[in-house]
Amino acid sequence: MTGIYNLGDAAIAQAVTDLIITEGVSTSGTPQALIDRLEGMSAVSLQASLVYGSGGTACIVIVQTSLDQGQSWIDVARFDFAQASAKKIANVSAAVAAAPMAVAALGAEGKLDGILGDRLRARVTSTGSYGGNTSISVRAAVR
Amino acid sequence: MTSDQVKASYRRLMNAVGETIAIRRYTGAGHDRPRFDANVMARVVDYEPHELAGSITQGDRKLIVLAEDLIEAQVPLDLRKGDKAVVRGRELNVEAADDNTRRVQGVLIAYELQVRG
Repeated sequence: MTGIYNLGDAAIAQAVTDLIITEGVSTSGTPQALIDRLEGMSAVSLQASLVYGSGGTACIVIVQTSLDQGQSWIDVARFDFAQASAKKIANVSAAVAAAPMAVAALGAEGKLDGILGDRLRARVTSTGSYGGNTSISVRAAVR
Repeated sequence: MTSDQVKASYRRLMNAVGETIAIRRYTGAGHDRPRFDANVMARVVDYEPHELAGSITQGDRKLIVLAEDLIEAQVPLDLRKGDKAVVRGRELNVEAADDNTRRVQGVLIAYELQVRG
């Protein structure tokens, strides 16, 4: 279970809304838009990289987990990009207490500690039309 | 033999004679496009002379990669031409990905990758 996982790579051109970029595979070999089999994950270090080409306005990457087998998703980290190449990192730990709270969207560059389920995925929303080979990639080092 | 028995047989052979390679996929275009490497076990062999036909040319190599390893590494089972394989530090181009030859009862046991470079 521990290791480096690819939460997705995508070329960004036209504006997208809530595009899931994760491409995983189930135990039976079926493609699925998530990385699962992460039961027992205690922490995850995340890296989101935007390689900027031209154009565009904003690109938001949100990493999510689920506690109900994918029926609903919880934001655990959010990375905000604009019109420049950047590499951003974050670490999320399950080993801290989390008081009862409502599930809510994260604000800019936000993160949520204390909640990690058995799966992860990355979601992208962009505004404006990016060009010039703009791409986004998201990696997770699971421990 | 069931597909599970064949998988176990392949696993034993792979552990005995296989080596670690990386399946590499690039996304997008440009020199700094993102890539991801998944380390898997593979058996690397040359083609026999009688196999050198069609698009297979001298110098091409055949990689046998277990589907189970790809699933374990969370790599979608859609390997295709243009993907890369890194063998002993050298990046090779996948010319063809055969997911038919090594199926048993419809279950994919292993890919046969024709690689060049």
